Amino acid sequence: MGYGSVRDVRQGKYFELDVAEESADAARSTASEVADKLLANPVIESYRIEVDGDDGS
Amino acid sequence: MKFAVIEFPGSNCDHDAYHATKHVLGQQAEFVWHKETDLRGADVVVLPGGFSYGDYLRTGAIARFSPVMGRVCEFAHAGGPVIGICNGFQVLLEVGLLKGALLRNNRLKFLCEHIHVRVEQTDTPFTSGAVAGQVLTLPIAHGEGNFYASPETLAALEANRQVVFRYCAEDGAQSDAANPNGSAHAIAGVCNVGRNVVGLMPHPERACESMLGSADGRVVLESVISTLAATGAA
Repeated sequence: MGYGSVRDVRQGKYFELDVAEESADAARSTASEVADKLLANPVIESYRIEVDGDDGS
Repeated sequence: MKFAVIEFPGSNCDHDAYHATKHVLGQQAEFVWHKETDLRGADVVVLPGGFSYGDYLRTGAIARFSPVMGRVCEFAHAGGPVIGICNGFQVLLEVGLLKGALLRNNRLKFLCEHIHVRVEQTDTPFTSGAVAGQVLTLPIAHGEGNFYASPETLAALEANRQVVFRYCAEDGAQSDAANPNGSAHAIAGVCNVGRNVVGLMPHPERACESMLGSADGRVVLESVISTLAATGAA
């Protein structure tokens, strides 16, 4: 295709959770629990959480 | 002897398992809907093949939260024989009764064909009637059957003799060509440390009558019948 600058590529899954928690830390902690229990299989998958915004409005 | 065949939304080999145990082998068999929490006094639990919950998220990832799985885990922890076939194997891995995971087949194609596996261990309730090294011809039908585990887990599975079935050629020889999906150590099926929980990708329940291409799968179901009969559990 001629895109010689593309050196690597990966695809993965992307989930957006709308979490009603008091703080970003609490939201991160909830998301982490959900990821460990369901969204990711730690045997074959890793994940990264980013907390975005503070009021959801 | 009573077999409980668990039905998840999307199971499609539940009737094969029911037919094999009830009509071919003459045992009692009952379907147990995934929302139930009573195994109805079953002596053996079968998690059948299919596409539980449409394989959404990951194969087996949602099914493992079905109400019945809590009861299946209790049954397994108490030593009850549980077999997971294909999607059932995937569910057993997700719920943590077995170790490892199943990735997309290494050549990325869904495979629907007869393959050969070697029986590696005969001290599980599902292989006690086989001879070590016996080669079985069984059908596979899966897109995610590429067994993966960390090097440490693979070493532990081998050291504990938990690799129950391995892909092989017709003569029992192992080679990359005889490994249909790229599975680590050519693993087709494993058991837990307690040896009462067995999961495998090939379908023994669909190979119980020679009219259907192979009757080699009978030994798996007949083994558990003999094992339980011998221990007086049923």
